[in-house]
Amino acid sequence: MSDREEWLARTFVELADTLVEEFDLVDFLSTLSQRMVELLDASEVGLILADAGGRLRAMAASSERLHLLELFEIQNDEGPCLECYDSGEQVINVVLADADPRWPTFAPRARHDGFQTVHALPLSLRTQVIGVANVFSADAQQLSDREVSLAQSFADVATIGILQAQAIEQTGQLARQLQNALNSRVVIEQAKGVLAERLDVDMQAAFERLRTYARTNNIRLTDVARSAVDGTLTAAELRAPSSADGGRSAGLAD
Amino acid sequence: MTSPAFGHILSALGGGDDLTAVPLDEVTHRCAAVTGMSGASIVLVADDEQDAVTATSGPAVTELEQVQFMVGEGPGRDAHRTGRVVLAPALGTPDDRWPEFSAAANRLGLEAAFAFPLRVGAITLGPLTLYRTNRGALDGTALTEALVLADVITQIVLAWHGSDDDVVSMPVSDLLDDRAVVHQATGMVSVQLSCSVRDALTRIRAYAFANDVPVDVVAHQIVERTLRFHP
Repeated sequence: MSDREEWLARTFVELADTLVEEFDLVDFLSTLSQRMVELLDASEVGLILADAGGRLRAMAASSERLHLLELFEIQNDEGPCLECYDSGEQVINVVLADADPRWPTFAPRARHDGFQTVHALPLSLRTQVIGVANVFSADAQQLSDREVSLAQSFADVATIGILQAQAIEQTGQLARQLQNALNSRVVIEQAKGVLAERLDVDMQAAFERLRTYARTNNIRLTDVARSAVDGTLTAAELRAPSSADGGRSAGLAD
Repeated sequence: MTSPAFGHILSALGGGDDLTAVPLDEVTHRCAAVTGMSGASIVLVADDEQDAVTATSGPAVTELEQVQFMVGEGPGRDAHRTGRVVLAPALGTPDDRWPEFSAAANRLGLEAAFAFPLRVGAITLGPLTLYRTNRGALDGTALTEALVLADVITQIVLAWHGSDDDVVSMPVSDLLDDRAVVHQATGMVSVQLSCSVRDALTRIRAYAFANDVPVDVVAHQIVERTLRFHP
């Protein structure tokens, strides 16, 4: 097996392995976004889910840059994500320089942020589209059919994995679980703010601290975020690069 | 920008009124009407859970909420505690989760309860509970509608509740701010003011309103550190 094939095989297993106790949807989607960047040699990937009201919400992205998050947020009015979500169809290889008629607000904004090409793949369960994977490239390179197919496979495996982990059985449960996941994202944003202020770091660094702490201590990312916001987990504990005793320091106030 | 569903529910509730100026009991009554339910309650729980402000659509629900508070069990309480939607399509079955609560509910003619936590991330206000006089599950559409209603009520309550006993009344449609920058700013301000995230969000909104600046612009200034809040 070539290195690439090994990487693919490992990644598929990683994305399917969601039946773990400490499964955290936001953390999982962050991983998925990073893997898609690696797969496609893209610049950035964002994963968007629709809330109960049909509003598209950014759940995770390959970086925590505010500009990037906002690029997803403005797509509730126009853009590749909205088209993909509404139609359930892939939006592939769109050159932003030519896209002003199609997306008069989104296209110039995306170009201003340094991107040249954009794609959107549906995250769907049977006939229902629950979200979108939004891919940005800083170069003009077009994706081949094979790359699109692989990227869609990642998205499909991840969607199944999400639903397995949440033990979804019916649509009603799906709506509730998604709403819960969206709220998790908000907790994480609030926690980023708390940490950024306490540690005097930027939002990217704040997110990395939360994520590292969660993984090192085997706690769900959302739970770490909630503890950071309500103060049961102090900034001092989160400042440490790793848990020195590798043990149970979670959730204890000084 | 609000989603069509949010806007639809908001106008169904409002009928042209400024909902932040309508008494909460009346808002609760409208919640029941909009969702085709027999009754509803909104309970705003204090941080220590010792106090609560309860608004209801009528006397039967008022009495039931008093029971829930006294016995310390019930769907609304579970929804608030867990942050999850609690659906009880049949109250008073043999394996009922809340025997005392459900017995009281049945006595009052209520057979089903659906409780939705009102929250924005780590900000949790309390449950919105919808009650019905007949048993039966919420279908997909009704559930989705109720989830959107919970979002709308959350925004109304956050707009209605001011700091320092001043009720800050702001148009609800201007306040749907689920953008990342606003939540980040909320976290930062909660540290700057040593207050809860709920109070931090209220302060940010009040500042935006007082200075006639959009909330997300204020949030940007906070995150870019050109604006700080001081106690």
